[in-house]
Amino acid sequence: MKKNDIILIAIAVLILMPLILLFLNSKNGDKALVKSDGRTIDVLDLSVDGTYRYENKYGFNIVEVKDKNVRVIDADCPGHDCINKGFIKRNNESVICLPHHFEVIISSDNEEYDVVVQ
Amino acid sequence: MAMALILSFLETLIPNIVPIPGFKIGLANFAVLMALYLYGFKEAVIVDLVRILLSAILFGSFFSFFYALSGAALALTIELIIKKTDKFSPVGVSVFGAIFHNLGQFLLAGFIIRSLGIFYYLPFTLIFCILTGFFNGYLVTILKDRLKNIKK
Repeated sequence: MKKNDIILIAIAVLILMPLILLFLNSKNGDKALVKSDGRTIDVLDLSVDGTYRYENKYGFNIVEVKDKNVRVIDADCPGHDCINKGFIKRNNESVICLPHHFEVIISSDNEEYDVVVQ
Repeated sequence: MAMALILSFLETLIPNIVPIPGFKIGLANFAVLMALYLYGFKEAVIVDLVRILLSAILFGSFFSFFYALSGAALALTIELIIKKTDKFSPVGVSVFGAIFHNLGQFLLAGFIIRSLGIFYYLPFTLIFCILTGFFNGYLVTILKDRLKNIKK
């Protein structure tokens, strides 16, 4: 190992750790944006439980809202990574289904103030 | 060359062992890095391509093939450049490769779904990949001299 290796790792960790702490401190969101090919096709209110089905030219995804959490419960994509991802609830957390160009991302009405730095 | 192929074959067995979605320990890159240090750039490219093709045929799809390729191509290019500068040991080269492997995949994924949302997860991914990159690079460091002797 060389000195440069240690410097590289140290710098990377120093940049990443604050970001990780910041992201982990994100508050829970109150709405979920459903996007297809980058366009918002639906906005879900997280305080209302429900199941929603979305279909585009690539396939379908079924999204469930439950107890202010969101997850994908079914899809006809090959990998099922979106289902395995499980529940999300914090601001800016997202579930993506790459084969379907499909994304669900958590958001808040007052997004500028959603992160508290300690 | 035969050994490089064996390494890449061994590597294809790895994804089965780690079933966490979206997270692999990247022993793949160990095989590629090893080929880069023992044989050279051309051999590393071949090992990389063979392993991506094999794992796409065995576990993946047409889609995952291109996804894997984007990360690997970027990672290998960066690894080669960093190795050429001679300022880093295999550990640094491996960590650079790991970082750019993930960056490449995030960029492609972001481009495909036309959204920056996934970049939220980049710091988490990068912290893990620095760890695995370190591990792989360290393995290469201790094994490359021994394997060089066997090669002769």
